Amino acid sequence: MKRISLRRKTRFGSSKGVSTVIATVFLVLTVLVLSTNMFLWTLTQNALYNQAVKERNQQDVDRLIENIIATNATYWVPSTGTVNVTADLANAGSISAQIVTLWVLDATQRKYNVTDLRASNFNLNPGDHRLLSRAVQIPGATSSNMFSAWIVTARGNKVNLATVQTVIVSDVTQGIGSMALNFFAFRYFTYATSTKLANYPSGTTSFNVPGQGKPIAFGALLTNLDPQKSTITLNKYSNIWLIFPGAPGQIVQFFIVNVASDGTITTRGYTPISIAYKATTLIVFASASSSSFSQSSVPPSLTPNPGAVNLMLLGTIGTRDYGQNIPFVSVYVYKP
Amino acid sequence: MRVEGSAAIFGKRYRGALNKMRIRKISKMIFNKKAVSLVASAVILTGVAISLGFVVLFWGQSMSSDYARNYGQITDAEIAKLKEKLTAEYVFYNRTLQSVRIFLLNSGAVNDTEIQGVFVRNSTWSWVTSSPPSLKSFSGSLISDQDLDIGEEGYVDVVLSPIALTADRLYFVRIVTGRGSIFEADFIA
Repeated sequence: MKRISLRRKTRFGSSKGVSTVIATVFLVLTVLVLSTNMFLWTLTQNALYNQAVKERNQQDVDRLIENIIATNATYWVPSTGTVNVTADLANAGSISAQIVTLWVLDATQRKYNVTDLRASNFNLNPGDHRLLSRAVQIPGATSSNMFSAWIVTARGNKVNLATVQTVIVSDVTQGIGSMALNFFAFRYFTYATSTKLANYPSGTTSFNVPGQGKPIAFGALLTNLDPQKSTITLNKYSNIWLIFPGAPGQIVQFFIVNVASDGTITTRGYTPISIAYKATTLIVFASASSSSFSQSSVPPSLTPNPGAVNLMLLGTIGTRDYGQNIPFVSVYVYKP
Repeated sequence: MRVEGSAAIFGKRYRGALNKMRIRKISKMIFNKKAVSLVASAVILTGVAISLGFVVLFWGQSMSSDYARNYGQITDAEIAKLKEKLTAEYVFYNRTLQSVRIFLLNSGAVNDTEIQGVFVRNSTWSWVTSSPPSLKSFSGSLISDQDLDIGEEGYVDVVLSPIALTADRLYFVRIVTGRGSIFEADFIA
């Protein structure tokens, strides 16, 4: 009987130990589920953090490779308290950059001001060049004060506006006068109509000009390099005058004129042209008379002939009178 | 006759004993408590084990979700802190008012950057704001939410008076954000 009972117990299983097995299975399952969940969750969070680290590194790299170069900065004070800042900006980096603010510091007074450039979309693509020109108000600022300026990009980089004013330029300016002529940009114009210049403002960059009574005008790129940083205003007597060594005493004059952007010459009177310090302006000399406009030309009697071109400038520099003669160009007048 | 009689008696007795045995066996089967308690205890133990298993499972689940929530919050905070970047556009020391004005730009990749405190120091001396300074926009108006979003600019004034900084000497400002990031800039007093 005992043997049968034992066999039956082993055959159909003893109830003893069942709960232990179930509990163990539960425990193992619980631990397995929880640890898997936690492992996966931690993995996800770590992946998120790693992604953030990568993004931050990328931002730092972008910030480091952003390369804006600001040169030829000028500070011009047209009136006390107003500082006109100009500078050439170039993006020498490999990513685009947004300029957000321009800071100007008057070091003499320890005063500063800031201008927001975001509204004007001052964005530079790689390789872009752009002229920055802004008027900033600094109470009490005068032209004799020392200024410095910097721009801030959206990535947080600060770029100083570098002033380039060599000793040679200032020395030359002191020697020959405050206005400089761009020799290589000297040009002449022909007429499309009686009062409109053809191919304005490009003209023809040459030192061979048509004569034989053909109406022409001259264009000169002038830069104000006044050491006192004053504005130069040219009056109606400013002109280009040609003298011909082959015909002594023969002079042809081309007086200064106002020209609209389409090349049309203002025929009623002349409005004085002002050139700010470090500013470069194309000035056109076209009129035979200073009082009213009439076309000028080199007469047939002087054609062909080599001639010396002189640039006679008159007006005011700051509050003082101004007069300068720039003699460095020669032309050959040919028969067209 | 005698033999027949004794055999009959024996048979009768045997049958009686057999019946008694059967009755005893049946009643034993019916009234045997030992087997019932064994089953009941097995059922109870199994039930308790399953119940405990579920309790442990739910407890573990709640613990792990707490942990996950905390871990997630910490990770989010760290990520936000990592994305924070403040640029000091200009630091100006007003010698008359004896105060430092710090112009800031949020050049990072996260919004809601608050200024918790500002340290002003040099190599031998240090000073810290006692409460978070007020953030103002560049136009001078108070920033309503007192934080800088991405690309937003603002400034804080730190009044050091009666402490006067030494003129033309280099000082540093350390800006501590609400998330715990630290940014430094220098200035000449």
